[in-house]
Amino acid sequence: MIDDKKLIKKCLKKDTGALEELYKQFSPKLYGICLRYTKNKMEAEDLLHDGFIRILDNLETYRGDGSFEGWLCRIMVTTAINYYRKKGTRYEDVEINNIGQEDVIENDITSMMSHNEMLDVIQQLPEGYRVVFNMYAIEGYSHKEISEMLNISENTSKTQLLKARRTLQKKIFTDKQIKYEKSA
Amino acid sequence: MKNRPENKIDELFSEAFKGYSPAPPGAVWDRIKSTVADDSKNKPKSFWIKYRMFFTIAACLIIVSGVSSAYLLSGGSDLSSGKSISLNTTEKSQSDRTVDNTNEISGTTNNSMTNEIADETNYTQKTTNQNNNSIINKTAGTVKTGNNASENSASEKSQALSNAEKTTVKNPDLSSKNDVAEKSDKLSSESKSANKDLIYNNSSEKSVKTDLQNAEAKLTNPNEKLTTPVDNKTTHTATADSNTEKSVNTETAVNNNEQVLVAANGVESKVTSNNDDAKLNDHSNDDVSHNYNDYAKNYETDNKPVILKAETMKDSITGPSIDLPVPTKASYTPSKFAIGVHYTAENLFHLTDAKYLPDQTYNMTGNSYEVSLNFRITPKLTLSTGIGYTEYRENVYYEVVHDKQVIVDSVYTGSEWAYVYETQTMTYEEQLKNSYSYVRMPLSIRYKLLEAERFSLHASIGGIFSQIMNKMEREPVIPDGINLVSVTRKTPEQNTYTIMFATGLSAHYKLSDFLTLAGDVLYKTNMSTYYKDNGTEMKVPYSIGFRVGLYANF
Repeated sequence: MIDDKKLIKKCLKKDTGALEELYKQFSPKLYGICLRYTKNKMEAEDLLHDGFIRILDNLETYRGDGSFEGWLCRIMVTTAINYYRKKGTRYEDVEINNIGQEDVIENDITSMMSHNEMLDVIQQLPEGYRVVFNMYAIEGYSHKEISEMLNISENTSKTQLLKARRTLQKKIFTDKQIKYEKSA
Repeated sequence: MKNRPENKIDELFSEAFKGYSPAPPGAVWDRIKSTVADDSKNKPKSFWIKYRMFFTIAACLIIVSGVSSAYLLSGGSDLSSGKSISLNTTEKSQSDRTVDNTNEISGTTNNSMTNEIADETNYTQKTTNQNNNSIINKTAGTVKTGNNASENSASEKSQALSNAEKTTVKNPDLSSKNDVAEKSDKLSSESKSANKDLIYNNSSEKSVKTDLQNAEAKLTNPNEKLTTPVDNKTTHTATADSNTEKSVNTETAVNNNEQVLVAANGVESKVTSNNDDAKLNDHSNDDVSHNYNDYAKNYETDNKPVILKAETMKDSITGPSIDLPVPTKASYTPSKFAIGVHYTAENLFHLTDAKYLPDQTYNMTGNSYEVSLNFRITPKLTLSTGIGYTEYRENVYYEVVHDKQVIVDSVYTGSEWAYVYETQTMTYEEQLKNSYSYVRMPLSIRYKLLEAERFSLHASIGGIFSQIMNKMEREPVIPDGINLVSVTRKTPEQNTYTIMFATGLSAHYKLSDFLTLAGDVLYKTNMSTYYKDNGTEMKVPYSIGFRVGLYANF
């Protein structure tokens, strides 16, 4: 495997081999991000395409401060956020008090779920819930950061997250119940 | 992330997708590859490459301008040489006149040079009786100058030079006078550095030889009267000399000798100034009792144009200069270089084919801002170039094609009406105003037609190269609910480069020596169509504009 810096240099010279190497090396990770933020594979592929082109366009701005993979992931997340911003995704602002308590999820239920099942559950979330949940729960952004990035209030970010969690809980319970019933 | 409250769902998904890296479909890479390839083709070219044509033309114009200004600065125009003559004449002091005039003789043209020689000699003759020492100085100077010129032009002239030097050394009066020696040296050095002219050299050489022969003869035998004439000229000289001095001792012989030289030069100068042997013969047959003052007076009356010149130099008067190439009188000092700032409002007219565009003629309004560089080639001709920014606003027509459900029939079913719909293709035209920015490079020649006091009228002709810098094009907004089929731009795209032919009339008003106000009426016509050829039968557009500007003269 070629060193990241050498790879970047070659990519900046538009070396087709280097570009392909970059794609092969990092596209699985990036594709995983795209799948989480989109509702289906087709959208994820479009997002991967757009995100990778954006990476290539901005490659010269990478200063080598942090990890290259982290930099690539951030660009991909930003591309996803911009994608939904352009699309005009609405984020409902609901009073937090009106949202009921989350159900307790037992560990044994979640551990039985595969990646594809969990992905399927996330993809079924409404766009607003999905984006906020991904950003908060998986990427680790704070509500403040999310509110700035999505141009929404912090409260909105919080409500979106809570509603996303509730929806996910319900989905997981429902799916597991169906599975139990079928297996029984 | 560190301080946030733990949540089972968050943890669950976070852990699950930590190392989640599914392989993307191969089709994605193919799409990326093709996009990258397209991007590299359509990638905006670098500034230099994009505007290479513009920069090439700019470089050409700069070279043209540079050559023009180099020509002007080198004093290549007639005006500058005429001006320098005038200045030299007026600035000369009385005492330095002989020296300076000698210098001028070398620097001017053949005709004026000959005239100047004659004039200067006449002037020398006039002063002879007033100051004998002065005569000696001037004579020595004249002789020496002539000889140096001869020395440079032919080897045989070296004999004359040695004779002249010998004369100077032999003469105790001359060598004893520091003033004589200084002036003589000065004349000699100036003569060496000056431009030698063969006509001048040949004529002066003759004169010098003749003079020196007489002078040497007198010096060798101071008590002997010079009786043998060398030619008509020396006959005249010798007679004059014999009339002036009867009894000769050593000292008077020297003086006589000097007078001989002066006289010889006087006659010779006349020959060169007139270049007319018949005239010379007439003078040589005159009463021999004339002294040289009389001779000079006669000469003045016979040759008025030359007298004017002599007076000009003698009296430091700038008076009527007949022969000098003095420029046409202007109420101000014409400058060689000017920088101008201009604003132009213009209207561009298109004659179009009606089947492509709704109107037979439609207009495009433009505003131009320009900085011009102006180089005066001659008093009447000026080369002008510069750089400008132009913005045009153009009406662009779009054809929008869409489907529409149209009720073509209705049927009553018993309880209600049922409608029969049919899809019809509808077309409408939309007009939008687009803006185009150009960078322009004009090159023109301006000719001064009229001039009165501070006002002048000029005619200009030239070309303008323009290149599109930026396009602000809008697309028609399609209303919701329309099943759009196509949007076609009917007005063709504009060419990236265009060349225009421009002509105009401009009026200038000199506010001060430094500032000139200018107003121009310009007519421009394109050398080719303004648009990219897409089948439109578009005639070449033309424009009429009014330009106002301010020139800073240098």
